[in-house]
Amino acid sequence: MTKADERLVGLYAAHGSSALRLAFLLTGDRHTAEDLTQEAFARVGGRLMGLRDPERAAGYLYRTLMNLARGHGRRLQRDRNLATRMANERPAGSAAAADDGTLGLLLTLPLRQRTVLFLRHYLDMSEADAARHLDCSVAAVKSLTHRASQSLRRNIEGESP
Amino acid sequence: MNENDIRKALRSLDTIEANGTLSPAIVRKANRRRTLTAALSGLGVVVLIAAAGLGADSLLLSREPQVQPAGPEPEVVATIEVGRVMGLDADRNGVWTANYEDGTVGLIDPATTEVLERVEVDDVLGAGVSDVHATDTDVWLAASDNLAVGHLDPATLQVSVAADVGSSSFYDISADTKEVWVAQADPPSFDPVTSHGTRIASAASVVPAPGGQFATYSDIASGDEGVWALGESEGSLAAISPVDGEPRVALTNDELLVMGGQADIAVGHGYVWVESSGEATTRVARFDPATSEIQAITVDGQGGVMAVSGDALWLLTHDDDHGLLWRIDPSTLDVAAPFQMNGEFQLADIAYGFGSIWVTHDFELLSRIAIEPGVEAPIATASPEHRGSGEVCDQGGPWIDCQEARWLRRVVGEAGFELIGDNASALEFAAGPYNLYGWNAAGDRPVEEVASEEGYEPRDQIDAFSDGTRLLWAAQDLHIYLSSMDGTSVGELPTSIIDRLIDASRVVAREADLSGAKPQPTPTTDDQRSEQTDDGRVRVWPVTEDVVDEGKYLFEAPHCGLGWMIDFDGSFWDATEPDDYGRGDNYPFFYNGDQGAITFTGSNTAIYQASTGEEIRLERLSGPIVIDPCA
Repeated sequence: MTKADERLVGLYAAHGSSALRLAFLLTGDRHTAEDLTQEAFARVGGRLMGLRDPERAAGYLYRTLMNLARGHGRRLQRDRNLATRMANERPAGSAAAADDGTLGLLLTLPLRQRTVLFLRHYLDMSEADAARHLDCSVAAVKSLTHRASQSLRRNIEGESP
Repeated sequence: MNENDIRKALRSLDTIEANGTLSPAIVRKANRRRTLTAALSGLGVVVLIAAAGLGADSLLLSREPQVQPAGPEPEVVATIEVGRVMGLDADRNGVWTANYEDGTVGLIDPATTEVLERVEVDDVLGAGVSDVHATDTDVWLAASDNLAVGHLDPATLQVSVAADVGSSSFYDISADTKEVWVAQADPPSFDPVTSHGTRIASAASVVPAPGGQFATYSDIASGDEGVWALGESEGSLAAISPVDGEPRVALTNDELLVMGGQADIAVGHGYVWVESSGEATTRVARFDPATSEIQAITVDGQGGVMAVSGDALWLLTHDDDHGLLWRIDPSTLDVAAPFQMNGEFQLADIAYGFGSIWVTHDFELLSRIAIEPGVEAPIATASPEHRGSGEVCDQGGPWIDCQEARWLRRVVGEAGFELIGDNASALEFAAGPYNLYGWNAAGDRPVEEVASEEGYEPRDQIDAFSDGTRLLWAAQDLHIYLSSMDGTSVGELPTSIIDRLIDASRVVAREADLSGAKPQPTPTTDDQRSEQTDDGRVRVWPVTEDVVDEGKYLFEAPHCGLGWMIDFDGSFWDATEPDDYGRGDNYPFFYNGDQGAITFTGSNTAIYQASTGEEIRLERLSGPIVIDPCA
């Protein structure tokens, strides 16, 4: 196994499940999430040795996942039906089974907002760490978080009788 | 929904676990990508020459690559966010974008490289637009989901249905000043849907496509060389007679014209150009209608799309992480080393106009690449440029619309830098041909010292903007910028020079008229009365003093902007979001701090005039409010 391979395997061990969970949050589909996650690791693995700062590999991985999900969503134009499909495809034992419907609402958010919420509120990253992982400013993270919260609140109010 | 609800929902993801080990197949795939990436750094070009005619046997030859000197280096002069664009075209009005997903058509101002117009079309056409062709006086739109061709009048921006094209799906449209054509399948045909000066409600005629009943035509192009369509499935090329509408040429030569994958067609410089994509290479075949001669070249990258400029054919190909822009000499087929851009270009489109190639990429971005030094290619001095995956500043106005750049004024206010209009107290630095300078309040301290004292730290990632400005230091959302005096790219300067400069030369425009505004009322107490609610939010009471409810008052919107809390005149106020709020990053003062003015329009109503000049309606609320904590 080459040094590059070892780095890739190490990255997978550390972030494989998190990446898959983010992919699920971005696509709403387990099989698609697995496909995108594998593709993301292949892409990142092709560049690992070229990264000046190996600590930034996870950020590169998450950004790659976000871009892949964006392309996937465009091809299938499935975003608009995501929440509905999630509600219909909620098998027992799946991630969504333990959810009260809020996860479906998260799936209606723009991908970038979903990713920020995942980094901040699932991986418990600070705003600064989330910004570093997304390669954007802290102000952008703050803004995306704020807008996501506003959208969710509006959506809930819209669902209320 | 508060933060706890979001956390609880996200915890349901815990049940998802990845396999314990990474698949060896993925490791092998990563290794292949490493190899490909290394190989891509070298230019690989194969040139094929063939002669063919109607019914003639083809002759396939190859020779050594003919790589010409690079010539003027293309340069990305601006990148803006345009949404998901599936097609674009340029005419004298500007660059038109077909925004399929949001059902709009955009117009980019070539003078500023900013979005000048965004026209809603889906209500009229019944679908978003997947392609656009502009002819100075008309803009033709492909509403392929609704089997309609639309028309947009560039003078009035009125949209109408030009023609329903029946029940056959269509892939592409093309237009010149005389006709609009669509290529349809099932049955395959070329369908002229409009004639010069007359827009008709239905197809004027259907011209059967040569190539047999199974032929489908994927792309169509028109120009001085006539109307040409490409039959991707059989590698056929067909032209329609401008006199009688009958097929003039039918050429089937799949070996030379189409090598599988995506195909594109263009006309220009007296030739018909057919591009087809293989797994990792792209072939461009040049067909001469006068002699039926075909010549072809093959270059690196896949998924090519083409544009014709005054002296060249431009081809954009891509690999997984780059776009490769090739300049092809139409006479010799010599190619220059490609101009490489980082990003996702799988679904890109390109157009030529205003001395530039315009390229969509990364799903939501449009870059302007200057290719002709002799042609004026104005650089967008006002619109900062998206770089990498950094946040995009709004392209709708001057700097103040950029939620990061707008902090410059706060830097000035809080860190003690002054914006002054002459060079008297500037620190001047000689840096070769560049005339650069930086200012600080005293004009005698290195910027590193000032930055250190104020708690600024150098950024790992330097944000770059199209006018050459670089963001170098940041602390607590306050940023220090640097730019050259003449707009020259700072990135070309030695790091040792860059690190010593701070720029305050670029005065942030204040669009709001704050003249005559009274001072902002001061709070009656420093202690914000508040209590936590059961759901984790906060109930707060106003702390401002009552004022006479008339006139205009300065007002500094808090850290989280108007969307969080407006405490003024002993009350909280509700800010009404404009209808287009949430599209792009406009109205940054809803989520970032701002300095503007509040003018009473009634005892319980007021207008907030933002620093950007926009006016937002405010309504007085009674009592305390319940809010989320401001991050």
